[in-house]
Amino acid sequence: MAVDIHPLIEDNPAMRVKKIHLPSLLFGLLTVFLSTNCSAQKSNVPIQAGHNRPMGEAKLSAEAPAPAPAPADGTRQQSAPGVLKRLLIYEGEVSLVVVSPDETIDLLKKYASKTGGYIVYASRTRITFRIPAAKFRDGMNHVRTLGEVTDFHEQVVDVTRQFRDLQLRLKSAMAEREKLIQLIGQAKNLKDVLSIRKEIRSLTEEIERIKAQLAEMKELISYSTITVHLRQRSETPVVRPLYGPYRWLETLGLDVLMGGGRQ
Amino acid sequence: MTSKTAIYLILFSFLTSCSPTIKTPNGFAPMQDPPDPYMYKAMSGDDVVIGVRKVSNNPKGDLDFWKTILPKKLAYAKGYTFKGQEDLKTGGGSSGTLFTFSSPGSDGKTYIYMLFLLPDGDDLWLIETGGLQKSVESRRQQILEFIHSFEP
Repeated sequence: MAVDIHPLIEDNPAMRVKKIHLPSLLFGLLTVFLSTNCSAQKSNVPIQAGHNRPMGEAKLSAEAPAPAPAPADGTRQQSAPGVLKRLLIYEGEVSLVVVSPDETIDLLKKYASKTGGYIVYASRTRITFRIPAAKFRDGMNHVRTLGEVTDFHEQVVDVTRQFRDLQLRLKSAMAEREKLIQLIGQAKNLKDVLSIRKEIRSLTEEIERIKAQLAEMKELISYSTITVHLRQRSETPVVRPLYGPYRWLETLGLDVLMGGGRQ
Repeated sequence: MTSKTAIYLILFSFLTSCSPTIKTPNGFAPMQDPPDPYMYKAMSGDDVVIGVRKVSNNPKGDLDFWKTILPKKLAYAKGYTFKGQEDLKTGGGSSGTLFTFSSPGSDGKTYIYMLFLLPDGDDLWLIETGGLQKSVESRRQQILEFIHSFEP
């Protein structure tokens, strides 16, 4: 639909104050926007099994890239003044050989639900679930007790910079869009209006994309992801010897209890 | 007090201090001469077996220690699947933990092994229960009552 805006501009004294060279203005705004549109970076920090780490967020000095030591109970740390919060994503993967994969899947579903988590994917041989990041260590330990561990992997991804970059991009894009909205009123012809509106639409799409990325990242930071691969044991359990002080544990079990004891 | 009375009293207190309080649950029959290493053993008509014994607490760990290590060690040594654990108290207030495991039998059926572990200074009291999954589950309440009635 064609709209003649000249009469509007002529009638409005505020719009007659200054003529704007629109292409130059758009180029300038775009340059400012792109300069803040930093490329996202993330660093993977492998963690050792059995070590406690801060979950989700931890303290990070601007100069110190290494993770802060974790509290023994695995709870989050409060950030002190002048210290940035480190944003971490925890992921774990365990391969288990179990007697009954179906039963193990059920146990894991109940565990995820009990710990305030949820199931992302489940089949007969694989389950992926998310639990609150503070419970990641307990979750990994629990999974490892459910069968024979044949492989496992843990990693923590530091997304602090990526998150901050996205926040800056969002702030910048929103400020940009606000300016363009104000400029529509100062456009002197339809071509300029359409050009500004095109830029606004483009920025709106960019804002929505960034918001979605931030929401997804927040979700990944709040909830750690654990994937368990299951393989059914093909025969009756293999009995392995225990050494040292734990050797007496070999005398536990159904064989001794139901077989009449060691006679 | 005569010396004879004193000896009886010492002997009585010694005997009572060494024997735990055990109350056979309904539907179970205790063995007259339980085989080594059990000091008490009873079985039900559907082949659920309960055994009680005492072992040296070696390495000398508290309940938290055993709660952490035992599921892993049994899963490793016996190939059992750890199903869960719960903290229980005996009637006398002693704290222990009941571990539950499952294991496939050679007959293709699933068996349950339950172990109640109660640290007692240099010793560990163990109450073991085993049998077919269905039978153990149907007698779960009796097993819990047995543990509750037990006192070192």
